[in-house]
Amino acid sequence: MSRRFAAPLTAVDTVDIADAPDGARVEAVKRIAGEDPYLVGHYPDFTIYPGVFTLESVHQAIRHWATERHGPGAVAELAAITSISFAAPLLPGDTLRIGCDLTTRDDTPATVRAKVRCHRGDGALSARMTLELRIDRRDGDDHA
Amino acid sequence: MITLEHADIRRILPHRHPVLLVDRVLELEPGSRIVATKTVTGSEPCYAGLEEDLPASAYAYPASLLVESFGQTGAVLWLYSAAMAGERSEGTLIFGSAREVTITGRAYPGDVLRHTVEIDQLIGDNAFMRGETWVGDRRIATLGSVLAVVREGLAVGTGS
Amino acid sequence: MSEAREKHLDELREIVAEVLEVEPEEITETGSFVEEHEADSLRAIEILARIEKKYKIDIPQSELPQMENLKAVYDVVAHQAGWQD
Repeated sequence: MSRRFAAPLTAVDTVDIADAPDGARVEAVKRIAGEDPYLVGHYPDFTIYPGVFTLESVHQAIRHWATERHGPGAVAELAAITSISFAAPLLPGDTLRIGCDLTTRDDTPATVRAKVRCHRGDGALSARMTLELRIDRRDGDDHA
Repeated sequence: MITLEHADIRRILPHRHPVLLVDRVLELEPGSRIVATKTVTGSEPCYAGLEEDLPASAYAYPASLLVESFGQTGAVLWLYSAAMAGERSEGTLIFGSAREVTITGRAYPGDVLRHTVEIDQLIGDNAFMRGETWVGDRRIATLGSVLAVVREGLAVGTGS
Repeated sequence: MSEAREKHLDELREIVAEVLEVEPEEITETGSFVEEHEADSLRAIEILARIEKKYKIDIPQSELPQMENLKAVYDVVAHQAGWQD
């Protein structure tokens, strides 16, 4: 599968986007597979989805929202992790379910704030995070 | 001044190719501070499968891997210091949480990430660290607080 | 309630609220961190770390399970810091 940005793996399988009063609700699903890139080294004797890959999954879900909302030339770049914490681990066969509330403010339209909760398929909380992303436009790359 | 080569780092961290993201330790003061590098190259798996004719910005090193590389650098400092002090941790090394991380710049293939990490506070099997990531004279990230923990098994409610 | 006790409670409330990412007003004296604010073992360690730093004291990790609400945190810290509020 080809990508338009560097990434350790394709970190979301499906993404659903819905409008919300002051932003959007983004939900995404990723099934953890032992054959996913990079996982062979994390770790050799047992496989666990790295915490930063959950961050990557959330980032990719928000990238989908950015291109849907702002056109194919729009890129959501991570500007800040206000907080992130990890709970239940994700192992091969587990499903990661991402629920992300995005808010945008009229005075800073290029900045998006994301409040995110991630659950494992069995309902256990696996991560929560508050992020700030910046919407950049790639000039000459925008067919919108 | 303690320095470590890749072979030494592999003896300290459980991570392996291609997710072992610390190349060399330039300075290490046990219990206190570390400076380590990771070279970004276009042949890494994260650059596989990109479309043709993308703008330069598409080749920015992923933020997720940048944070992982920083965290592994902190883990080298912590685990090396603990071993020097005769402490031995049983269990799995876990990225627990982080706060106040700002990413102000990007790194591209050919750049060398230079992480400086300090241990802020140690509480049992929990290490609070902070630091910065530089490319040359450009600071590209500031990490206010990163909490790494060692936990037995995987069922302790904290993961990865 | 003594003024000193109130001041200490406010300081601790501030620390707890920052870690749990809620407004200080939401932290009541007896409200459970776990049940009302989804605290977990990592949050508990963060609260402990910030308190140790602010008051320059050492709190044994064995006290962690007790520190389930603001009043309980106050009691543990008052004991360790020797507060006579």
